[in-house]
Formats: sequence, C-alpha cells, structure tokens
Amino acid sequence: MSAASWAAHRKGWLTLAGLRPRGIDFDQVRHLRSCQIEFLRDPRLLEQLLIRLGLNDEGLDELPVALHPHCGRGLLLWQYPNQFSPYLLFLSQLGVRSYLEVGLRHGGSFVTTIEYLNRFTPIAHALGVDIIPAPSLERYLDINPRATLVWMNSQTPAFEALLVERGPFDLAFIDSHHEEDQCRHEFELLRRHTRMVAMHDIVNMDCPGVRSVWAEVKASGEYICYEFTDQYPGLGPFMGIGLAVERTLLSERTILGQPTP
Amino acid sequence: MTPTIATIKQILATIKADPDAPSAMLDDADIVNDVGLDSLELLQFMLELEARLSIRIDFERLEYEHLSSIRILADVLDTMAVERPSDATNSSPP
Repeated sequence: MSAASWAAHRKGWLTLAGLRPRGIDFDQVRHLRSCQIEFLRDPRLLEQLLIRLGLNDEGLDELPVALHPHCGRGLLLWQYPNQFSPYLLFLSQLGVRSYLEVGLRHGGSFVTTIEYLNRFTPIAHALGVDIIPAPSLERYLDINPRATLVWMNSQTPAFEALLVERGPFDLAFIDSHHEEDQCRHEFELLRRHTRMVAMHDIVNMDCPGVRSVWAEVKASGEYICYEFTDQYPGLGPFMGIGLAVERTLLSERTILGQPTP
Repeated sequence: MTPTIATIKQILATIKADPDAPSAMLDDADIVNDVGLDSLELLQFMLELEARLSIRIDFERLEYEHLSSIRILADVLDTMAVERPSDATNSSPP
C-alpha cells in the first residue's frame, strides 16, 4: 500500500459517519409493498418515492441541497434517485428472479432493489455480501426469508465457493470497494454466475478504477450495456449505474417486449 | 508491551492468518512494509481495531506515517476516545 493509496482510503473513510453501517428503518418497506403498481411504473413518481424512502447522509456534498432534508433517515439509500429510478424501472422488464449485491453499506439499495423487483417478478432468492458486517440489516431477514446475508471478503476463495453454492443469479450488483483490481476481479468472477451485472459509480469522478473496469466491459462487446447516469446541476459527475446484459438474455426477453432503457 | 500493542499484533496475525506472528513481530515493525496489508486487509484491520479497542478511529488524525511502527500506531490509538455503549448503537434516526 502506497501513501497515495492510503490517502484515497482515508478520504473515503472520512466521508463515512463511521466505518460501521447504521440501522435502516424497515417500516419504509411497507411503502414499496403497498404502493400501486402503476405508481411504481412511472419513472417520475418512482423517483419521488425513492427520495421519500430516505437517503444516506454520508457524502452530502454529492447531493443537491434540495435533497438534504431527506438524508439521514429511512432506508439510507446511497443512490441518486434520478439514476436509480430508471435503472429499477428497466430491470422490472427483465424478469429478475434472483439477486446478488456485493457491497451493502447500510443495505438501502439491497432492500429497495429486492422489494421493488418483487412487485413485478417474485424474487426467489437474494444474497447480500459485504466485508463489513451490518448486524442491524439482519432484521430484514425477518420480513423477507428469501434474503440472506454473508459477511466476507469478496477477494477470497470462500466468496467464489459461495457463488458456486448459492448461484446462479439473474442479476448481480457490484458496489463494494471501488478499486480497479478488486472491481475487475469481482466482475470476472460474477459474470460466470449471472447473466446481468450492474456496477455502481461508473461515472463517479472519485472512482477512476470503477470507470476503467466499466469501460472495459463496454469495449468487450460481449454485453449490451445500459447506463443510468443523470446528474444534478453543478455537481459531479457522481455515482452512475452501468448494467451489462448478456446479448442472448436480451434476445430471450425481447420475446416479451423490448425493454427501454 | 502495552495492551494496545499486543492487540494490534493479534489483529495483524489474524488477518495475515499467521498465529505465530505476534511473538515474532517487533514493536517497531512497519505495518505497511514489514507486515504488508492490501487495501481490503487494511479495512479489516481498522474495523478490528475499533471493535477490539472499543474506539472510534479519528481519520482526521490518523496519518500514513502512523503506520510506520506498531508502537507509534498504538500511541495514537491510545489517544482516541473509548466508545461509549450508546455510540455503538446502530439505531436509525427518528
């Protein structure tokens, strides 16, 4: 580890309100479970719902001031609502039945993705993995027995064994350590166990490693790649979600109708 | 050897999966160059330090140079406030 690497880590840790994750408010889940399906299909209404579910208050500088009153409460979503809404909406057309998320932090994106997609196609099993335990997130398993959580390092053989044991998955979402080598390793590993891989922070100015790996995925030509990268004026670019879909999968799904990014 | 130095050595031994390491590790061992931690091991190290020492690491004050010696790191960590039980509660805001 170099001094520069240390500085990058330190900057990231200073952004956090503590290394360990906080608890999220699972009462918010009922909004996703009870909301009318037409509401969930409307990108603008969905965006507003995501804001109301509660956003993370770590890295407030990345969020417009207008959203600050919604930060630090609810599901502590660490997403741009204007990116996450069209991303979820797009996924809802792809029949996702199993989900893996690597890098959970407080767990807001994990819970929201499962609960939202479950309204369209039942999620048979979902797995969340993080090197940092989030004990309070385990309460979610009480209200969703199809979800499981594992606390482990994604760079170890044990993680690979876990994928063999629990996989395959329809969709995997990478939002873990945001370093180039680690991100590339995860992508190469996950692609063997899923036909859709999503990546967070593909345009984030503070995550050059993720940007590089996503550029490689796009250049490979093996996937049809979609990007959800809307920004807020005067900020960033921050976050950004990339979704790499196996070409064969999309041709199967288009039988049911062409999804629109 | 202070309790903090002993704890640091135990954590490093666990992370490096080398149970014999604490006895062989010098108090002035360089955590970066002698022990060698990759970025995820470094994260695990920080998490374990917080848990085992019941502190909350102040990254404003923790510098790269502090990793140049286990003894120096221990001295810095000993100045960081011990976490009260209420601080450790992961309750969500109202």
